[in-house]
Amino acid sequence: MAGNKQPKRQISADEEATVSELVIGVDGRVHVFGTSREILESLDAIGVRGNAVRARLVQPPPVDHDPPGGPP
Amino acid sequence: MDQRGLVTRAEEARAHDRQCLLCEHRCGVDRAAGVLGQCRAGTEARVFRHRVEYGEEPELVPSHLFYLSGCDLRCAFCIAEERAFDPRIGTPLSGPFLRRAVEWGLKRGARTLQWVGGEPTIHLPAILRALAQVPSPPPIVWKSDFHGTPEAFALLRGVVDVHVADFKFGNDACALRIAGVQRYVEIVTRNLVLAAADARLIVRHLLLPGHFECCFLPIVRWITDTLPGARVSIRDGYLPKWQARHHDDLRGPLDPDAGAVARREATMLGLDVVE
Repeated sequence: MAGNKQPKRQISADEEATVSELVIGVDGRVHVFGTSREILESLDAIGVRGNAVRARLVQPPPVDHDPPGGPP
Repeated sequence: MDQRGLVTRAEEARAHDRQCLLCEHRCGVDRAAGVLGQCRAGTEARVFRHRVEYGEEPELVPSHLFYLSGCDLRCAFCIAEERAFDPRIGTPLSGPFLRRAVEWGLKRGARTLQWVGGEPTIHLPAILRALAQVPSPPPIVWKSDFHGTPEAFALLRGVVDVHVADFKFGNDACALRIAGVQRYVEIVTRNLVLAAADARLIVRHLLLPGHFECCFLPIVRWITDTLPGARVSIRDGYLPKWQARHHDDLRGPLDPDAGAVARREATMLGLDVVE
């Protein structure tokens, strides 16, 4: 990339690079990007889209390293 | 895949630093010599953000997302805007950086390590080199535009535990007009079949205003016919970002009911729809 100006922004490995972002659309809807647990808990507390929020707070079993159909 | 396997895979991937055939633009450029292809990326990947998130599909969260700058597509509505397209933005991805970051994420409860962009596929050699230096990483999630080549997907085999495919357009005309990409449907559907054979698959679709008939329906019908076991994640958080204002159909918000209507339609087709 010779000749190109190098942006200076650096981030740390052990520090959250950004916090959740809330954007209010022109139609008044609130969009959450980079949803944190704290945001989810707040949404859960006021009953916003209950199932979608609850499913992420009370998580199902995690995915694992096994391929589809089980371990080889 | 264990660390030894990753080292070998990283060596295999290195060929693309010299003749890049990672995405279907197939530029074939020598990135190691500083020649830039359509994505403008060199051989170094850069992380412009990483954080543990809860907004992904329930089986993935908490997920530690690593956002890499640089992309092979130019979707007019891209939410990440210039951060997605300028591969010079962010901190260089190295083994020590990734090792420390993964440790940090695990302490914060992360159950998966997720690569996002921009587009991670264009940085596959650098990602494999860094991953090979991380002992026992959590399951790997690959969130991609699925515009990669079969060669790229072969390099991911056994490395990725979950593919999250961003299936954006249901026909080539919309893909060409909005993202400037040719043969979109053929490429993405081919890759979906490849990915489903190797790992778990979640197909995401961001609903675009006015694209229910031309994009959403063809996509869910194709999944129903070809990969009926795939998880389908319908996203309704569209925002008219970046160059969306230049497109009559994209400059406005999504209908507030669009998400519910689309989920109902997909469920009626028998698909496994993410809540």
